[in-house]
Amino acid sequence: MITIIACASIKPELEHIKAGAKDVQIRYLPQNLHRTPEKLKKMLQNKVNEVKYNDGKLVLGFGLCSNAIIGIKAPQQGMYVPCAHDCITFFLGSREKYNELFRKYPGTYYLTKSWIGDKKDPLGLLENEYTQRVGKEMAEETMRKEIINYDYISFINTLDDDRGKCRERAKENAKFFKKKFIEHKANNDFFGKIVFGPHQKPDFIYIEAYKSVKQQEILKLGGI
Amino acid sequence: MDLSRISETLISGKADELKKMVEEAVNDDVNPSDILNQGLLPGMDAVGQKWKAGDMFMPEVLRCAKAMSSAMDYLRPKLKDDDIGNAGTMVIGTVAGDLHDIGKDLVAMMFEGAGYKVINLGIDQSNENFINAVKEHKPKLLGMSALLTTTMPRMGEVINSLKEAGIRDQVTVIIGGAPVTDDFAKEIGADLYGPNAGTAVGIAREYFQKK
Repeated sequence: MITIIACASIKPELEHIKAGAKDVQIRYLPQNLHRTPEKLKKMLQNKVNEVKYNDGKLVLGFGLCSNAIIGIKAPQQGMYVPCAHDCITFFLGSREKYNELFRKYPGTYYLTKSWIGDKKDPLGLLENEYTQRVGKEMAEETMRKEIINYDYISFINTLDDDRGKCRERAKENAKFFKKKFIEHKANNDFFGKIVFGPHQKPDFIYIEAYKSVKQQEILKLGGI
Repeated sequence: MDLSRISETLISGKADELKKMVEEAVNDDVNPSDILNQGLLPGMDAVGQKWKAGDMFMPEVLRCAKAMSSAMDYLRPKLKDDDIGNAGTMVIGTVAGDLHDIGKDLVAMMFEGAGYKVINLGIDQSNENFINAVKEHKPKLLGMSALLTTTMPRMGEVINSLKEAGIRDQVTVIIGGAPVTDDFAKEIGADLYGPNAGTAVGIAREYFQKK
């Protein structure tokens, strides 16, 4: 039995990989909490604390995520934590690919199916969250300011279904905010490792029972 | 005047109302320095805490920052010479590879409000740029910001470069940004950690008073 606690940003991909596997249960936290790491830390710890010993092996589906996972205490069975900065590593399949693109396209705002579907893309945030809180003008001013230094909006296409729709929305974002649009092909390797393993170095670090996640261990082991 | 009302108005982001209140306080002979330290800065501290807790969204934070900026434009000429520029110089920037500046600019505004002459280097600043700026401006404070776990190690590299250049003991280093923690600040040898823009000024002030 494997229990995974993951961010909803990778839900479509994890569910696709998991398919019919009955010995895998996945529990999700809302996406976009990396913006408020202290809040994410509390919510994640609560979720970890709910895991029982007979839930089996525990694997987290989070990267460092603004360091929100630092200090998370493992339950009785310990837990496996991916060595990754954030979900972009998962979408691209490896830290190597992430590092390559980070160097090649430093100012990139990445979008995927779940970010767009959950309306957490810049236009989605503007239209569905910001405008209701402060009005259209201030909402647009804020979002433009948030991504002013980005050059690219990149769509990572992870799944076949809905692909055309999400790509168009990503392009719409790029046009509205005057960014260059690029598309990257996803790689499901890391998702496969989260769901089925192997949960081993250098992709995962094992946190022993009741011990906490330390940043340096992840950075060193993961080569990130 | 109860200066906590100024804090509350700042938190509500009502720029016109805030400016009017600050004007009233000045006309009532409230010390401008008290308006800043007991009204505006605690207000921005609360804004920072609400943001971290997820109770306030980015546009609301920016609206508060605009209100603060507008109030400061009025208040700055009223502050005594002792309160302006004489607090010292601060060099601030976002580290190499990191393109985020909203938080860093908020911190810069807070320190400017608290009487610092602020040299804002901008985003994506190399180690060399930080070192050269410290050599050139001889600041009391060096502020570094990073929003990404990929870029935060650059802060430690700048501190090492300061050591190599033999100027580490000439400047107090304060760091901040969403993934940055007090433990990380200690680990890389920074002097201070600013958890948000509102508290950073108070943390620096307390440090220099004790020093």
